[in-house]
Amino acid sequence: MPSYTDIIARKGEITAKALGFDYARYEQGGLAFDYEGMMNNTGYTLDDIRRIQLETGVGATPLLELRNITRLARKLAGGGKGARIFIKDEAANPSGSFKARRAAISVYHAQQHGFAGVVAATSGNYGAAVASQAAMRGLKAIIVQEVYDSKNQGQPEILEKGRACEAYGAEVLQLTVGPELFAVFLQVLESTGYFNASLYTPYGIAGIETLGLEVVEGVRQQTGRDPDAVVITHAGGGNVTGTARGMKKAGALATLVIGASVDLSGLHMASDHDFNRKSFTTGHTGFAVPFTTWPDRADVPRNAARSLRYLDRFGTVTQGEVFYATEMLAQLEGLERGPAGNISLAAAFALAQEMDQDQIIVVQETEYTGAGKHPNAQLAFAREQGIVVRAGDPVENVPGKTIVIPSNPRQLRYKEVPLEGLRQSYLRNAFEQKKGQPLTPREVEFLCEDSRLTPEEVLEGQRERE
Amino acid sequence: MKSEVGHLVEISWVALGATERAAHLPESSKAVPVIARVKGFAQSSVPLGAELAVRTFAGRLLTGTLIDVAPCHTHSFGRPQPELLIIGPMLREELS
Ligand SMILES: Cc1ncc(COP(=O)(O)O)c(C=O)c1O
Repeated sequence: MPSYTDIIARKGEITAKALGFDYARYEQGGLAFDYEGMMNNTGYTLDDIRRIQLETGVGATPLLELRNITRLARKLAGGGKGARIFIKDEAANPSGSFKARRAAISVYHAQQHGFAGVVAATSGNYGAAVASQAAMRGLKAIIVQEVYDSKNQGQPEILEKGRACEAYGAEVLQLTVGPELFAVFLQVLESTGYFNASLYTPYGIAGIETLGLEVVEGVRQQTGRDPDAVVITHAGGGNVTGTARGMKKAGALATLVIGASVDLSGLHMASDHDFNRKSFTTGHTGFAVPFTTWPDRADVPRNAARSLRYLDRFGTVTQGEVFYATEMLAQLEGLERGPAGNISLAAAFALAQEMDQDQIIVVQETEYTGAGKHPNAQLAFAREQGIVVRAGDPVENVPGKTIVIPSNPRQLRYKEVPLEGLRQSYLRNAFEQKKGQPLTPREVEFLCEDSRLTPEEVLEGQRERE
Repeated sequence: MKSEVGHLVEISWVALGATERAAHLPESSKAVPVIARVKGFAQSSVPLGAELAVRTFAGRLLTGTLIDVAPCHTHSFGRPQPELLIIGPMLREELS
């Protein structure tokens, strides 16, 4: 393999060739670029995307009302509180998660443009989604995963995702912990000439817009009105970005977009030691915080997932609360579903109790579950890593040390993370990139679009740096 | 154990040695190499620990050290967890 620095130095050239997307066209000098221009130039309209997805059985998933969980929330809330809770059963997609929407357009595009195969760097459901879509369209697939720590111990959920990829006929290149996965990924792209089915291209994000559209259409159909809030599990931010864009295209302009992540604060994502001390491999703050505060850390020149543009609120839940919500969904609603979607369920259950009974809150996805993903598998694994698992009040949770399973449903809480703080870190990251140079007028405007800060706040930040 | 030609095996190799790794890594990662693993069909018959080329599911020819023959998935549903088993009955009681 070429040296790490050599291959990283050529990342722009390699990814551009493997995508055939002209990012340079949208650059507007320095930090600024034309995001909407980029998103509107995929060559696919929302109707095209719907049609392409239906060809491979993606989308049109059921929207289910969680009547028993709503009843429970109302009983706990009292005082006429407790919004109706709905869930979008995205596990019904081929490959078992909303990620099929994201893979569908990339794989279609690769097929149309004569690529023999697709490559994706992902330890998540996206690998299975790409592998499944590639199988349907007759393309080869290579998935590059971060799976093992240096003791050869694999995270059970990632092992399951790797198994699923292989079931669909993909090659799974498995790596030990570290950001160098990106270099290996580039090397695979370069040596195969396959398409870069990155999670963060305009194709990937546009593919999720149908989910936002369907959520709004489904709620309108069943209730005659728009949802008041949609809760969306947040990791890299594509889920929030695509869904919110779709909701806006459906005309649901007043619906609150709420992001939810599992709190894994204190665990380092590139640490061999910390890697297996987490029970969630996506939908956690280890992705959400770096990606909201600087999206362009992705494996493409410009990230199409930019969630600060769309988030109205953002909050966290703990690992124990999500395990509780997983059990609640299975036992009260008869839906046995996987970890990531239940992050937003745990948040929505708490949020619904602050809302009125005539309001509607939607949990935007479910995902499949199975060996490795199941709470029993994760908790048994956590105990083996020396993590203390016990019942109690989840406020006592310490990521990487204790997992506290709520001892009653009143202990499920949504912890608000003020967006103002994320916006200020975004701004700090922007100044870091500028290395002391003043912002151009277009850059000020861009930073406002990208973070929803006001021009005064951006300029104030600049003055403070001087 | 030996690989059999045409049978599924697993190989591994050092993708990046500890000194070739990215800058600014946490200490626990800095100290260890990046190891890669892949499954594929053995191109020759060699004992465990020997060098071997495999044909992957995507059709690529890759070379590494033979680490497993007929590799199997062992991740499971885990043992039942007492803290979870009490949730269903408690919630049903709450709703009744
Ligand atoms: C099932 C599921 N839900 C939610 C997410 C989070 O999506 P995003 O990374 O776009 O924020 C993921 C991503 O890994 C996922 O697999």
